[in-house]
Amino acid sequence: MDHKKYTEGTELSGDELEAISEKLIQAKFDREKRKAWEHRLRDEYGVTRESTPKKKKFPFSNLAIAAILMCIAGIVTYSVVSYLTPSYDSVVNESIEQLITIDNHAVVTRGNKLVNEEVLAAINAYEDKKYDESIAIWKKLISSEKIRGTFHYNLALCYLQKTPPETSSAITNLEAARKTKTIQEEANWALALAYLQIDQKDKAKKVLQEIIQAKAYKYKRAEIILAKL
Amino acid sequence: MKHQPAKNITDEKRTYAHQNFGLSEADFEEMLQKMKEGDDGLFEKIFLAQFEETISYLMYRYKVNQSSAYDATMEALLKFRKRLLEGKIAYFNMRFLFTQIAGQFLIASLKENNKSVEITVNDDVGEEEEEKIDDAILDYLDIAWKQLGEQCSKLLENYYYKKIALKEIAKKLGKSDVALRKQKQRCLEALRSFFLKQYKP
Repeated sequence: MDHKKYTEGTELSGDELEAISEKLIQAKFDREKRKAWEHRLRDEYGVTRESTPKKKKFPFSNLAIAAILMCIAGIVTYSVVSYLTPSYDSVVNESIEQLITIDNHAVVTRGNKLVNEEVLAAINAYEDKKYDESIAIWKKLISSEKIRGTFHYNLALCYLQKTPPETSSAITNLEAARKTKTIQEEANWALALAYLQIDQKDKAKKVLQEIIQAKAYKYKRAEIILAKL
Repeated sequence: MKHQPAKNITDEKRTYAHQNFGLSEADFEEMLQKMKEGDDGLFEKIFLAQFEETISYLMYRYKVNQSSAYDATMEALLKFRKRLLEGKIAYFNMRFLFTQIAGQFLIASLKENNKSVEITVNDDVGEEEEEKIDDAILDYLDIAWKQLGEQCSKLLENYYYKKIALKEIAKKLGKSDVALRKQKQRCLEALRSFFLKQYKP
Protein backbone atom coordinates (compact mmCIF):
# COMPACT_ATOMS: atom_id res chain seq x y z
CA MET A 1 0.00 0.00 0.00
CA ASP A 2 1.53 3.27 -1.10
CA HIS A 3 1.76 5.63 1.89
CA LYS A 4 2.16 8.60 -0.48
CA LYS A 5 -1.58 8.42 -1.12
CA TYR A 6 -2.01 9.32 2.53
CA THR A 7 0.04 12.47 2.13
CA GLU A 8 -1.53 13.58 -1.16
CA GLY A 9 -4.92 14.34 0.35
CA THR A 10 -6.80 12.10 -2.10
CA GLU A 11 -9.80 10.25 -0.82
CA LEU A 12 -9.00 6.89 0.72
CA SER A 13 -11.34 3.98 1.24
CA GLY A 14 -11.77 2.73 4.80
CA ASP A 15 -9.46 -0.21 4.14
CA GLU A 16 -6.81 1.96 2.53
CA LEU A 17 -6.86 4.42 5.40
CA GLU A 18 -6.56 1.57 7.87
CA ALA A 19 -3.69 -0.14 6.06
CA ILE A 20 -1.64 3.00 5.44
CA SER A 21 -2.27 4.39 8.93
CA GLU A 22 -1.09 1.12 10.43
CA LYS A 23 2.17 1.36 8.50
CA LEU A 24 2.73 4.96 9.49
CA ILE A 25 1.90 4.38 13.14
CA GLN A 26 4.17 1.36 13.18
CA ALA A 27 6.99 3.44 11.67
CA LYS A 28 6.39 6.31 14.09
CA PHE A 29 6.64 4.09 17.18
CA ASP A 30 9.47 2.05 15.71
CA ARG A 31 11.43 5.26 15.38
CA GLU A 32 10.76 6.12 19.01
CA LYS A 33 11.60 2.61 20.12
CA ARG A 34 14.85 2.71 18.15
CA LYS A 35 15.92 5.89 19.94
CA ALA A 36 14.98 4.51 23.36
CA TRP A 37 16.89 1.28 22.70
CA GLU A 38 19.93 3.17 21.48
CA HIS A 39 20.05 4.99 24.82
CA ARG A 40 19.56 1.81 26.82
CA LEU A 41 22.21 -0.03 24.82
CA ARG A 42 24.64 2.77 25.44
CA ASP A 43 23.82 3.34 29.13
CA GLU A 44 23.19 -0.20 30.32
CA TYR A 45 25.20 -2.39 27.96
CA GLY A 46 27.94 -0.08 26.74
CA VAL A 47 27.03 -0.73 23.10
CA THR A 48 27.16 2.24 20.78
CA ARG A 49 27.00 2.61 17.07
CA GLU A 50 30.44 3.45 15.76
CA SER A 51 30.53 6.12 13.12
CA THR A 52 31.34 4.90 9.62
CA PRO A 53 34.88 5.67 8.46
CA LYS A 54 35.13 8.97 6.60
CA LYS A 55 35.78 8.90 2.88
CA LYS A 56 39.14 10.02 1.60
CA LYS A 57 39.35 13.63 0.54
CA PHE A 58 39.09 14.34 -3.17
CA PRO A 59 42.46 15.54 -4.40
CA PHE A 60 41.09 18.50 -6.47
CA SER A 61 40.32 21.96 -5.15
CA ASN A 62 36.73 23.17 -4.93
CA LEU A 63 37.35 25.51 -7.86
CA ALA A 64 38.52 22.67 -10.10
CA ILE A 65 35.52 20.56 -9.12
CA ALA A 66 33.20 23.47 -9.91
CA ALA A 67 34.82 23.92 -13.33
CA ILE A 68 34.50 20.23 -14.15
CA LEU A 69 30.87 20.22 -13.06
CA MET A 70 30.14 23.31 -15.16
CA CYS A 71 31.64 21.62 -18.24
CA ILE A 72 29.64 18.45 -17.65
CA ALA A 73 26.44 20.49 -17.10
CA GLY A 74 27.09 22.40 -20.35
CA ILE A 75 27.62 19.24 -22.36
CA VAL A 76 24.55 17.59 -20.86
CA THR A 77 22.37 20.69 -21.44
CA TYR A 78 23.52 20.95 -25.06
CA SER A 79 22.84 17.27 -25.66
CA VAL A 80 19.42 17.41 -24.03
CA VAL A 81 18.37 20.55 -25.92
CA SER A 82 19.59 19.10 -29.21
CA TYR A 83 17.80 15.88 -28.49
CA LEU A 84 14.56 17.49 -27.36
CA THR A 85 14.32 20.09 -30.13
CA PRO A 86 12.89 18.25 -33.11
CA SER A 87 14.02 19.24 -36.58
CA TYR A 88 11.60 20.70 -39.16
CA ASP A 89 11.60 17.47 -41.17
CA SER A 90 10.93 15.31 -38.16
CA VAL A 91 7.99 17.50 -37.08
CA VAL A 92 6.43 17.30 -40.56
CA ASN A 93 7.01 13.57 -40.97
CA GLU A 94 5.74 12.85 -37.50
CA SER A 95 2.62 14.95 -38.14
CA ILE A 96 1.90 13.08 -41.35
CA GLU A 97 2.37 9.74 -39.62
CA GLN A 98 -0.11 10.80 -36.96
CA LEU A 99 -2.90 11.57 -39.44
CA ILE A 100 -5.81 9.24 -38.93
CA THR A 101 -8.78 8.46 -41.09
CA ILE A 102 -12.06 10.05 -40.15
CA ASP A 103 -14.42 7.35 -39.10
CA ASN A 104 -17.88 8.87 -39.44
CA HIS A 105 -19.32 5.95 -41.35
CA ALA A 106 -22.48 6.02 -39.27
CA VAL A 107 -23.30 9.37 -40.91
CA VAL A 108 -21.97 8.88 -44.42
CA THR A 109 -23.39 5.42 -44.99
CA ARG A 110 -26.85 6.44 -43.85
CA GLY A 111 -27.59 2.91 -42.68
CA ASN A 112 -26.60 1.28 -45.99
CA LYS A 113 -25.09 -2.05 -44.94
CA LEU A 114 -22.95 -2.55 -48.01
CA VAL A 115 -21.46 0.94 -47.87
CA ASN A 116 -20.91 0.53 -44.16
CA GLU A 117 -18.91 -2.67 -44.72
CA GLU A 118 -16.83 -1.05 -47.44
CA VAL A 119 -16.02 1.97 -45.25
CA LEU A 120 -14.96 -0.29 -42.42
CA ALA A 121 -12.82 -2.36 -44.79
CA ALA A 122 -11.13 0.80 -46.12
CA ILE A 123 -10.42 2.08 -42.60
CA ASN A 124 -9.01 -1.28 -41.51
CA ALA A 125 -6.82 -1.47 -44.62
CA TYR A 126 -5.46 2.02 -43.81
CA GLU A 127 -4.71 1.01 -40.23
CA ASP A 128 -2.93 -2.10 -41.51
CA LYS A 129 -0.90 0.13 -43.81
CA LYS A 130 -2.43 -1.57 -46.88
CA TYR A 131 -2.77 1.77 -48.59
CA ASP A 132 -3.43 0.55 -52.16
CA GLU A 133 -6.26 -1.63 -50.91
CA SER A 134 -7.71 1.29 -48.97
CA ILE A 135 -7.32 3.64 -51.96
CA ALA A 136 -9.31 1.29 -54.21
CA ILE A 137 -12.24 1.22 -51.81
CA TRP A 138 -12.29 5.00 -51.22
CA LYS A 139 -12.18 5.63 -54.95
CA LYS A 140 -15.11 3.28 -55.49
CA LEU A 141 -17.08 5.00 -52.75
CA ILE A 142 -16.34 8.45 -54.17
CA SER A 143 -17.66 7.38 -57.55
CA SER A 144 -20.86 5.90 -56.14
CA GLU A 145 -21.83 8.04 -53.16
CA LYS A 146 -23.14 11.58 -52.85
CA ILE A 147 -21.52 12.60 -49.55
CA ARG A 148 -17.88 12.45 -50.51
CA GLY A 149 -15.94 14.89 -48.33
CA THR A 150 -14.76 12.33 -45.80
CA PHE A 151 -13.94 9.84 -48.54
CA HIS A 152 -11.76 12.41 -50.31
CA TYR A 153 -10.00 13.18 -47.04
CA ASN A 154 -9.39 9.52 -46.20
CA LEU A 155 -8.21 8.81 -49.72
CA ALA A 156 -5.78 11.74 -49.53
CA LEU A 157 -4.32 10.33 -46.34
CA CYS A 158 -3.58 7.05 -48.11
CA TYR A 159 -1.68 8.91 -50.82
CA LEU A 160 0.33 10.81 -48.19
CA GLN A 161 1.28 7.68 -46.26
CA LYS A 162 2.24 5.55 -49.27
CA THR A 163 5.85 4.78 -50.02
CA PRO A 164 6.72 6.72 -52.08
CA PRO A 165 3.92 9.18 -51.37
CA GLU A 166 1.65 10.40 -54.18
CA THR A 167 1.38 13.91 -52.87
CA SER A 168 -0.23 15.59 -55.89
CA SER A 169 -3.14 13.10 -55.76
CA ALA A 170 -3.38 13.77 -52.04
CA ILE A 171 -3.56 17.53 -52.62
CA THR A 172 -6.30 17.16 -55.27
CA ASN A 173 -8.42 15.16 -52.85
CA LEU A 174 -7.73 17.47 -49.92
CA GLU A 175 -8.76 20.46 -51.98
CA ALA A 176 -12.02 18.63 -52.62
CA ALA A 177 -12.38 17.61 -48.99
CA ARG A 178 -11.92 21.11 -47.56
CA LYS A 179 -15.09 22.19 -49.36
CA THR A 180 -17.04 20.02 -46.93
CA LYS A 181 -17.65 22.00 -43.73
CA THR A 182 -17.58 19.04 -41.36
CA ILE A 183 -14.01 18.05 -42.22
CA GLN A 184 -12.65 21.39 -43.42
CA GLU A 185 -10.31 21.85 -40.46
CA GLU A 186 -8.77 18.39 -40.69
CA ALA A 187 -8.41 18.77 -44.47
CA ASN A 188 -6.62 22.11 -44.08
CA TRP A 189 -4.13 20.64 -41.67
CA ALA A 190 -3.43 17.67 -43.94
CA LEU A 191 -3.18 19.98 -46.95
CA ALA A 192 -0.51 22.09 -45.23
CA LEU A 193 1.43 18.94 -44.47
CA ALA A 194 1.03 17.75 -48.05
CA TYR A 195 2.52 20.99 -49.38
CA LEU A 196 5.41 20.62 -46.96
CA GLN A 197 5.95 17.05 -48.07
CA ILE A 198 6.78 18.30 -51.58
CA ASP A 199 8.52 21.39 -50.26
CA GLN A 200 5.94 23.93 -51.48
CA LYS A 201 6.61 26.13 -48.47
CA ASP A 202 4.75 29.24 -49.62
CA LYS A 203 1.51 27.37 -50.16
CA ALA A 204 1.99 25.57 -46.88
CA LYS A 205 2.61 28.85 -45.06
CA LYS A 206 -0.63 30.29 -46.39
CA VAL A 207 -2.68 27.34 -45.15
CA LEU A 208 -0.85 27.26 -41.82
CA GLN A 209 -1.55 30.95 -41.29
CA GLU A 210 -5.24 30.34 -41.98
CA ILE A 211 -5.25 27.56 -39.39
CA ILE A 212 -3.50 29.71 -36.79
CA GLN A 213 -5.71 32.71 -37.42
CA ALA A 214 -8.87 30.66 -37.02
CA LYS A 215 -7.39 28.84 -34.04
CA ALA A 216 -8.56 25.77 -35.88
CA TYR A 217 -7.63 22.10 -35.54
CA LYS A 218 -3.88 21.67 -34.76
CA TYR A 219 -3.20 25.42 -34.66
CA LYS A 220 -0.57 25.00 -31.93
CA ARG A 221 1.28 22.48 -34.02
CA ALA A 222 0.88 24.80 -37.01
CA GLU A 223 2.58 27.58 -35.01
CA ILE A 224 5.54 25.30 -34.31
CA ILE A 225 5.94 24.36 -37.96
CA LEU A 226 5.51 27.93 -39.17
CA ALA A 227 8.22 29.06 -36.78
CA LYS A 228 10.56 26.53 -38.33
CA LEU A 229 9.83 27.54 -41.94
CA MET B 1 10.06 -49.92 30.97
CA LYS B 2 13.43 -48.32 30.81
CA HIS B 3 14.00 -45.27 32.91
CA GLN B 4 15.33 -42.36 30.89
CA PRO B 5 18.34 -40.74 32.49
CA ALA B 6 17.56 -37.33 34.00
CA LYS B 7 20.81 -35.94 32.57
CA ASN B 8 19.52 -36.15 28.97
CA ILE B 9 16.36 -34.19 29.77
CA THR B 10 18.44 -31.50 31.44
CA ASP B 11 20.80 -31.33 28.46
CA GLU B 12 17.90 -31.04 26.07
CA LYS B 13 16.36 -28.24 28.10
CA ARG B 14 19.70 -26.49 28.25
CA THR B 15 20.06 -26.71 24.48
CA TYR B 16 16.59 -25.30 23.94
CA ALA B 17 17.26 -22.53 26.43
CA HIS B 18 20.50 -21.67 24.64
CA GLN B 19 18.72 -21.59 21.30
CA ASN B 20 16.15 -19.25 22.79
CA PHE B 21 18.36 -16.73 24.58
CA GLY B 22 18.16 -18.59 27.88
CA LEU B 23 14.38 -18.71 27.90
CA SER B 24 12.50 -21.84 28.80
CA GLU B 25 9.22 -22.43 27.03
CA ALA B 26 7.37 -21.14 30.10
CA ASP B 27 9.53 -18.01 30.17
CA PHE B 28 8.81 -17.48 26.51
CA GLU B 29 5.07 -17.75 27.08
CA GLU B 30 5.35 -15.33 29.98
CA MET B 31 7.28 -12.85 27.85
CA LEU B 32 4.71 -13.13 25.08
CA GLN B 33 1.83 -12.66 27.49
CA LYS B 34 3.42 -9.53 28.92
CA MET B 35 4.04 -8.14 25.45
CA LYS B 36 0.44 -8.72 24.52
CA GLU B 37 -0.53 -6.65 27.53
CA GLY B 38 1.68 -3.84 26.30
CA ASP B 39 4.66 -4.58 28.55
CA ASP B 40 7.90 -4.96 26.56
CA GLY B 41 10.14 -5.00 29.66
CA LEU B 42 11.10 -8.67 29.62
CA PHE B 43 11.52 -8.75 25.86
CA GLU B 44 13.87 -5.78 25.96
CA LYS B 45 15.85 -7.19 28.86
CA ILE B 46 16.52 -10.42 26.99
CA PHE B 47 17.09 -9.09 23.52
CA LEU B 48 19.12 -6.00 24.34
CA ALA B 49 21.44 -8.24 26.35
CA GLN B 50 22.39 -10.20 23.26
CA PHE B 51 22.51 -7.22 20.89
CA GLU B 52 26.30 -7.05 20.93
CA GLU B 53 26.64 -10.76 20.27
CA THR B 54 24.55 -10.40 17.11
CA ILE B 55 26.64 -7.47 15.95
CA SER B 56 29.79 -9.56 16.38
CA TYR B 57 28.24 -12.45 14.48
CA LEU B 58 27.25 -10.22 11.55
CA MET B 59 30.67 -8.57 11.42
CA TYR B 60 32.36 -11.97 11.39
CA ARG B 61 29.92 -13.66 9.01
CA TYR B 62 29.55 -10.88 6.43
CA LYS B 63 32.80 -8.99 6.94
CA VAL B 64 31.05 -5.67 7.46
CA ASN B 65 31.80 -2.70 9.72
CA GLN B 66 30.25 -2.27 13.16
CA SER B 67 27.80 0.45 12.14
CA SER B 68 26.24 -1.65 9.38
CA ALA B 69 25.94 -4.61 11.74
CA TYR B 70 24.48 -2.36 14.46
CA ASP B 71 21.81 -0.95 12.10
CA ALA B 72 20.84 -4.39 10.82
CA THR B 73 20.55 -5.76 14.37
CA MET B 74 18.38 -2.82 15.39
CA GLU B 75 16.06 -3.36 12.42
CA ALA B 76 15.91 -7.07 13.21
CA LEU B 77 14.99 -6.32 16.81
CA LEU B 78 12.10 -4.10 15.75
CA LYS B 79 10.94 -6.69 13.26
CA PHE B 80 11.27 -9.50 15.76
CA ARG B 81 9.17 -7.62 18.29
CA LYS B 82 6.46 -7.05 15.70
CA ARG B 83 6.44 -10.67 14.63
CA LEU B 84 6.26 -11.89 18.19
CA LEU B 85 3.24 -9.67 18.81
CA GLU B 86 1.61 -10.94 15.64
CA GLY B 87 2.04 -14.48 16.91
CA LYS B 88 4.33 -15.39 14.03
CA ILE B 89 7.21 -16.69 16.15
CA ALA B 90 6.99 -19.85 18.18
CA TYR B 91 9.34 -21.27 20.80
CA PHE B 92 11.79 -23.14 18.66
CA ASN B 93 15.12 -21.57 17.83
CA MET B 94 14.83 -17.82 18.26
CA ARG B 95 18.57 -17.28 18.27
CA PHE B 96 18.88 -18.74 14.79
CA LEU B 97 15.84 -16.91 13.49
CA PHE B 98 16.93 -13.59 14.96
CA THR B 99 20.41 -13.74 13.48
CA GLN B 100 18.95 -14.75 10.12
CA ILE B 101 16.58 -11.80 10.12
CA ALA B 102 19.44 -9.49 11.06
CA GLY B 103 21.50 -11.00 8.23
CA GLN B 104 18.70 -10.37 5.82
CA PHE B 105 18.43 -6.72 6.82
CA LEU B 106 22.16 -6.41 6.39
CA ILE B 107 22.08 -7.94 2.91
CA ALA B 108 19.24 -5.63 1.88
CA SER B 109 21.19 -2.63 3.10
CA LEU B 110 24.37 -3.74 1.33
CA LYS B 111 22.44 -4.31 -1.88
CA GLU B 112 20.98 -0.84 -1.59
CA ASN B 113 24.50 0.54 -1.38
CA ASN B 114 25.62 -1.67 -4.28
CA LYS B 115 27.99 -3.69 -2.16
CA SER B 116 28.44 -7.34 -2.95
CA VAL B 117 27.96 -9.89 -0.24
CA GLU B 118 28.13 -13.64 0.01
CA ILE B 119 24.56 -14.92 0.15
CA THR B 120 23.57 -18.44 1.04
CA VAL B 121 20.17 -20.13 0.94
CA ASN B 122 19.97 -19.99 4.73
CA ASP B 123 19.84 -16.22 4.64
CA ASP B 124 16.32 -16.19 3.28
CA VAL B 125 13.84 -16.36 6.12
CA GLY B 126 10.93 -15.10 4.06
CA GLU B 127 11.07 -11.48 5.09
CA GLU B 128 9.06 -9.28 2.78
CA GLU B 129 10.62 -5.95 1.92
CA GLU B 130 8.89 -3.06 3.60
CA GLU B 131 8.19 0.30 2.09
CA LYS B 132 10.48 2.94 3.55
CA ILE B 133 8.88 6.02 5.05
CA ASP B 134 10.69 9.34 5.01
CA ASP B 135 11.68 10.87 8.32
CA ALA B 136 10.00 14.11 7.22
CA ILE B 137 6.63 12.35 6.96
CA LEU B 138 7.12 10.87 10.41
CA ASP B 139 7.99 14.32 11.77
CA TYR B 140 4.65 15.65 10.49
CA LEU B 141 2.92 12.57 11.85
CA ASP B 142 4.40 13.33 15.28
CA ILE B 143 2.98 16.86 15.12
CA ALA B 144 -0.44 15.53 14.09
CA TRP B 145 -0.25 12.88 16.79
CA LYS B 146 0.13 15.53 19.49
CA GLN B 147 -3.14 17.07 18.35
CA LEU B 148 -5.02 13.83 18.93
CA GLY B 149 -6.82 13.50 22.23
CA GLU B 150 -5.40 11.09 24.80
CA GLN B 151 -8.15 8.56 24.19
CA CYS B 152 -7.39 8.42 20.48
CA SER B 153 -3.64 8.27 20.83
CA LYS B 154 -3.82 5.48 23.42
CA LEU B 155 -6.32 3.54 21.35
CA LEU B 156 -4.26 3.76 18.17
CA GLU B 157 -1.00 2.96 19.93
CA ASN B 158 -2.47 -0.01 21.78
CA TYR B 159 -4.14 -1.42 18.72
CA TYR B 160 -1.63 -0.73 15.97
CA TYR B 161 1.68 -0.82 17.77
CA LYS B 162 1.18 -2.89 20.85
CA LYS B 163 -1.11 -5.17 18.84
CA ILE B 164 -3.59 -5.51 21.68
CA ALA B 165 -6.80 -7.01 20.36
CA LEU B 166 -9.71 -4.61 20.06
CA LYS B 167 -11.78 -6.96 22.21
CA GLU B 168 -9.24 -6.65 25.03
CA ILE B 169 -9.10 -2.87 24.80
CA ALA B 170 -12.90 -2.68 24.73
CA LYS B 171 -13.10 -4.90 27.81
CA LYS B 172 -10.69 -2.69 29.74
CA LEU B 173 -12.53 0.46 28.74
CA GLY B 174 -15.94 -1.06 29.38
CA LYS B 175 -17.05 -0.39 25.81
CA SER B 176 -18.52 -2.58 23.10
CA ASP B 177 -16.35 -3.84 20.24
CA VAL B 178 -18.52 -2.07 17.71
CA ALA B 179 -18.35 1.28 19.47
CA LEU B 180 -14.58 0.99 19.80
CA ARG B 181 -14.18 0.05 16.14
CA LYS B 182 -16.09 3.17 15.14
CA GLN B 183 -14.04 5.27 17.53
CA LYS B 184 -10.85 3.86 16.03
CA GLN B 185 -12.03 4.80 12.55
CA ARG B 186 -12.79 8.35 13.68
CA CYS B 187 -9.37 8.59 15.32
CA LEU B 188 -7.67 7.50 12.09
CA GLU B 189 -9.60 10.13 10.14
CA ALA B 190 -8.77 12.80 12.69
CA LEU B 191 -5.10 11.87 12.59
CA ARG B 192 -5.02 12.12 8.81
CA SER B 193 -6.87 15.40 8.81
CA PHE B 194 -4.39 16.89 11.36
CA PHE B 195 -1.54 15.48 9.29
CA LEU B 196 -2.77 17.01 6.02
CA LYS B 197 -3.20 20.41 7.67
CA GLN B 198 0.44 20.39 8.69
CA TYR B 199 2.09 18.49 5.87
CA LYS B 200 4.21 20.45 3.42
CA PRO B 201 5.89 18.19 0.86
